[in-house]
Amino acid sequence: MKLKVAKTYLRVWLKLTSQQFQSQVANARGAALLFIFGKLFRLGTAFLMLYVIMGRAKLIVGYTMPQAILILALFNFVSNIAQLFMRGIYMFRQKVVDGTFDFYLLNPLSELFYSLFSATDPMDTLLIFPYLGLVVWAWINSGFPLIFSSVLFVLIVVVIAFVLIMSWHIIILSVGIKYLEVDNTIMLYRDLEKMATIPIEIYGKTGSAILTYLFPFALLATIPARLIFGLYNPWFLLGFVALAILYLKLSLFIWSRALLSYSSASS
Amino acid sequence: MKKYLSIFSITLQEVFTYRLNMVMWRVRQIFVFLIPFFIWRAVLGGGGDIYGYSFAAIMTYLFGTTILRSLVMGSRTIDLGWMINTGALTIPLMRPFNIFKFFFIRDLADKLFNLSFMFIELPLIYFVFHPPIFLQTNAFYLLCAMSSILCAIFIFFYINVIFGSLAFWTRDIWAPRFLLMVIMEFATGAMFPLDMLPEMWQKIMLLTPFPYLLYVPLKIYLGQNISLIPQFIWVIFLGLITKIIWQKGLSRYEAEGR
Amino acid sequence: MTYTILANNLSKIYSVQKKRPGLSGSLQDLFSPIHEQKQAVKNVSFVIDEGELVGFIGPNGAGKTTTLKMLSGLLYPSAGSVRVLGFDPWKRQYDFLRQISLVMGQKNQLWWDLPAIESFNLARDIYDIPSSVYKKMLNQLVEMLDIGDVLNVQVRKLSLGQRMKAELVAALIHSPNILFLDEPTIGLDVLMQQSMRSFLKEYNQNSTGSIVLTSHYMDDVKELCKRVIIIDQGGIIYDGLLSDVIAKFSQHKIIEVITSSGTTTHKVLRGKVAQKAAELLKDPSVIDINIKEVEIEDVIRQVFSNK
Repeated sequence: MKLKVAKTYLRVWLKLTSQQFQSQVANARGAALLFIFGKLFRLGTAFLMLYVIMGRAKLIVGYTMPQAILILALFNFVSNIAQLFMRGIYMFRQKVVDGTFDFYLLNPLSELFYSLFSATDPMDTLLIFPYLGLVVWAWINSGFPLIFSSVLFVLIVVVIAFVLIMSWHIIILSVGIKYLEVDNTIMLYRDLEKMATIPIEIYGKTGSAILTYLFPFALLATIPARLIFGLYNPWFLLGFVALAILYLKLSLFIWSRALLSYSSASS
Repeated sequence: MKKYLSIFSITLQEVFTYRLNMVMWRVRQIFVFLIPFFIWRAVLGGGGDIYGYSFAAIMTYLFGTTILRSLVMGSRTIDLGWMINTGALTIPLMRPFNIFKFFFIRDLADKLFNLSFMFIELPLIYFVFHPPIFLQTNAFYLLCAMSSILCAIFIFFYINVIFGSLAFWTRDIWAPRFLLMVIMEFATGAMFPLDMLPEMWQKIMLLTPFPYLLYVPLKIYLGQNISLIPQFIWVIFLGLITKIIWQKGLSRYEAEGR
Repeated sequence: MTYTILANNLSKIYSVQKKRPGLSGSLQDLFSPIHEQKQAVKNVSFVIDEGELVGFIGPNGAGKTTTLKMLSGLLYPSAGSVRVLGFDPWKRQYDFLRQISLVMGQKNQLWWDLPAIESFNLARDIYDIPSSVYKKMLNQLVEMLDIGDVLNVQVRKLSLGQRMKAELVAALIHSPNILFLDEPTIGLDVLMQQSMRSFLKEYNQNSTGSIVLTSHYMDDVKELCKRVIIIDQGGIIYDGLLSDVIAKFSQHKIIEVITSSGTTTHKVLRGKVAQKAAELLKDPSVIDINIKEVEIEDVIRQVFSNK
């Protein structure tokens, strides 16, 4: 039964994404290109800043420049995958206001599924490849070997990170349902997330602790990087698995409470 | 005059209505300061300098851009594109006031709102992080800085109107807007002082209006001898373009109709 | 037997922020907001059986839509209980949602930029409808609603009427046991309204499913519903047969007198009708007289204005 439901979700998601693509073809394709260019530009400026700073400082909190670049590449990759899949949150407020969210609620499939995953832009998926390529290049450039165990650990971390990011998105949706405020909240989340672009040791002892144990943004880049550099004990990952599950349960609970006060779009 | 006061007041009321929105926005502004602070502290905290900037100097710069952001870049004219697309523009257009003044006054209200929050946040940031701040005492530089900021406000206003006006021609305004935001983040000098870049790059950047929004006014305030002329030219040039695009766009707006 | 819908003392209270005027008022609202309780639905109870077509009527803001939303599981009742098809609608369980459908007037759940058929195919995937059943249902509905030639047209290019029809197909393709309709004919032109009503009537006759609709158009109710529930200010003021409404609420009948110079109407107490008619007929200029029930619109209007 569970497998059947999972297959249904997958089928529906594929269909929604392909229909999103068809819908784009019907409208403006130029927009997608501008977006891609914008994202690449943003990545470019991040790199530029890294070069500018580290051009003079050979070492930053104990990491060399190539290592810092790998961290940037990892962050970019993980963050963008999450954004790619959970693009629905950027349209969420609109959906609540125009009543579409009501239809989500009454659809047999989870309304969270629609709120988060129904707006995947297939054009974004194209960018995954260069981003992944960047990670691989940065990995090799950092001088550490691309061995199976490292890759496996990184993949595990990415999965854990994804579950965590999803939980946070659900919490943001809960705030959105209650207060109709989503856009600033999600951007605030992105600002927080951006802190993980650079090695978290930069933020001092307290900062690192917060970013590792309370809001584990460190999982997005610094921790997988440390795994690659052999500076991290993989057994700690078990703790993060537990944390991710905890966060997920918490977020679903908050969501169900938030719905209690949902007042629905007026007719 | 009274009607503009009303517009000012109503805009503030609009902002206050969404309390959470307000709070979130301000918290975000704090983060905009925090991340570069940590980066620079890690790199320069122990001493030394990068391209001529010591830790103290870069902190001054960062502090300065944070304040200037609220002043120069607080704006509601970003709504313009949406207003055109949904036909919401029709109502203010029909009213007996100048539509540009309308948008401008709303922007001023937004800036005032942002500034008043700064009065709470800045002391807080100062007490926690002790960034070295530089108070300009030379009256001449102060005057120039203020003119420069005024020019910056106009430049940003015109840029917003121009980009919002794109909506007269296309339904999808978010993509170009996004691109503009990404470029401005870098080109205004908000990420780092533009004179850390090679000469050639600086020259190219100064050919665009963006550095004149944050980087140039701040530099003038800090006492560097930068001419105000390019800014004036940009104000006039952008003002003209805005008028032209607006007229052209408006005639199309009537044609589409609602 | 299990009732299809069982509502017991349902209530819904909203907390609405009261805004104070002016800039200073705004600032006050910012720091110490006042909230007001607004009771949208007050102790509403009723029972609906399988196959019924029930109409909730009442003026705007009466609480009909709020009640409907509590029945479908969108809103959480402040008090009372409701069971629909044996489920607690609020829980929105998969097996419950598979059996219901909601159509809201002027709101669309179809893909805007794609042909309607795409949305139908998506529904097939979502509701897991077997292929043969899907084809049969699709053909049946498309024929009944006569939209065969617009299936492959982008939804954004359809007229409002065609869109509503497509909307109905999407809503009924999975053969729900209950169809909820919220103001379905709002904004449609007279022909379209008629067309939709005939369809709903036909559909109800040919299937075992129930239909619950809200409307403030009397014509919807007259045409479709044998049973009406009249809601005003959050409470039920009548629940029963439409024909009985007139009898219960109107103590009058209308006598229409047609003369060569025009028509006049007289409102006369039921008991006095024969007497008055005889009196009026004495006038030689009278060509014809009609004795009618008071129009249901007038009855309802009177009911509401009396409250």
